[in-house]
Amino acid sequence: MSNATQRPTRQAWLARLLFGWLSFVVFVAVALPALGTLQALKLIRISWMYSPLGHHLIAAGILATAFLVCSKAIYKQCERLSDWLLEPASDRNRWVLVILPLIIITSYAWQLHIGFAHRGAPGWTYANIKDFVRAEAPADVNFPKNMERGAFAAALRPEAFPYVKRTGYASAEVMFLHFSDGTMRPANFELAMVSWPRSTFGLAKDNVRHGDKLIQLVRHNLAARREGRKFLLPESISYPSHLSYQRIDYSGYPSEDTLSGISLWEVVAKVDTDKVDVVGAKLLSQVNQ
Amino acid sequence: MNALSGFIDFQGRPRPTAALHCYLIQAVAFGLAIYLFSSWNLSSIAFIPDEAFSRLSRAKLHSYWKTPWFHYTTFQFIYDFVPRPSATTIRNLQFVIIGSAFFGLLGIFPRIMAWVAFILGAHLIGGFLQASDTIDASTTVIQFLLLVVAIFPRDAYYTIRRFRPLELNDKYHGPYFLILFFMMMYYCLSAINKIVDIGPDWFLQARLDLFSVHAIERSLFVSTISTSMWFSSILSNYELATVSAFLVLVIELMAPLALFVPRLIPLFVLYFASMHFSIYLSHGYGYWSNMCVDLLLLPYTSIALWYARRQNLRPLAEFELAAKP
Repeated sequence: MSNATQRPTRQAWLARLLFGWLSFVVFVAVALPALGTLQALKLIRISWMYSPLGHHLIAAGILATAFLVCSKAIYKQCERLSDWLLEPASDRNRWVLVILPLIIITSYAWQLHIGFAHRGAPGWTYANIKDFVRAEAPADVNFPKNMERGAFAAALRPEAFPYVKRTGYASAEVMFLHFSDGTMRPANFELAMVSWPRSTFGLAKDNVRHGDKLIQLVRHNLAARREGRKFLLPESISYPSHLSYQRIDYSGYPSEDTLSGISLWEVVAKVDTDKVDVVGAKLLSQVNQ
Repeated sequence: MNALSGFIDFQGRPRPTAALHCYLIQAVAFGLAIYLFSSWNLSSIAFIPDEAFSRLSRAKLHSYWKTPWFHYTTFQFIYDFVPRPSATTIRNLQFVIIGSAFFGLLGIFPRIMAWVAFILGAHLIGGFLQASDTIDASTTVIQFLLLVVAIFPRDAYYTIRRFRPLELNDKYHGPYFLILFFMMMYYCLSAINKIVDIGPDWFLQARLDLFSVHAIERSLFVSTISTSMWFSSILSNYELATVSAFLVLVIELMAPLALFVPRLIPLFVLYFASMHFSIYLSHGYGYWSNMCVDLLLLPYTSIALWYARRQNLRPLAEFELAAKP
């Protein structure tokens, strides 16, 4: 008899707790974009809050409305869930099945990246992507004095030529490694491992904030790349990086110990129907040891 | 609790699930951890300037929080008090993760090994994410998979002493359900993000065809993100690119259906696995773990039962017996 009177109390308590948590999740999910909107309107200022995202208010509003409209049904499900959780004497597996999805739902609703869950891929479009090959040549296309055209031409990938349909001028930022034997060889940011080395190392045009760190890092990774590895596995079968750069064969490069500098250039190529050739280069940044 | 039971069921089968499915999850989780941590040299983090770990979240990540939450959940905050580790220390930690995952793969103390790999992995990956200022879904998925293995039902592991792949048990549904829930929510939220960030006409604005042309042309230089030339050539077609984008949006949005209509799961997961592969081909994003996890959600219990019956294998009697209430 006592069990019969106690069990519903525990179940009801748990059901209220579950429903209370879901209500709190929805409340915060609405409050965050609402505060963001107020911040955008300069009505408030919140130190921990990032850029205001007022447009998320619509999605949060729909979520809150759905929650309110279906609140009875949701509470009913919370009751059934608490029945299920308390049915056996103790089954941790059932608690795992409830708590982990609650954590996932919370992280999604509050836009949290907690290491093993996050809000999903953001929206993106390419409608405004700029043409890579343009009809007009960039201004001031020429080569610096005392620089060989061949050094820059090594930054081209002939295997891509047959797939390019347009003619004109293409330019890209290219990283070069400088060695103590006087050679300058093309490389790319894959050697920096991180996805956005420009912001990580402060690689602004004409101003590199952490050049010494970049050289140390490139030297560290070049040692493995020269042996055809990223870490333990051969590079060809390694788990791809988050952003996979073009593959460069570093095996013929001089030793990492002789790396004396890194430079960033804007290299311009003229794309014709039957050939592509480098026609200019402009130094953007230079890091010396 | 029929509603919930039906919720976690799949293929219209009785609730009991073959241990084989948990074994596959265990093996793939540890296998992927070995693969990732043997491939990436995370000791590079030691050469990253300190300020990279304390900067604000990137606006494009659409976070409300100036400091990313994984600063706390991956224990990066400890470096607010102690110096960051050297390359050698990070390298050794990486070897510990690889070793743990290897032991877990062999079935030696798999639960402990999963916790070790998960916690140390979260810490190193957290450092990488913070230094990279990115979200990197593929590492997130591996971390989630390791967490699921760490909290497996006790009997769901294969060990060096215990290997009964055709044993059926209700409890073995748990890991499967968690991964299914995680992945389908991830896809659905990604679709909602597209609508919220861009609009319902996202598929018209996506213009994968323009991106594909751009990706091919930028491949003229070694400094750029890689792309598959033949794949991008195909995707350069406007109609095909628009239809692809439309399918991505609609199928991602419908992903939670897989939780309620189990027979649709194979269709969803095969589509998403192929989507990740095509993203790798076109954009160069390495989503190997997402692909593997999608393929983990195929109905292996049904396949095992079908195979066992067809071969008239001896264990058949065992799982039929186990299936009885």
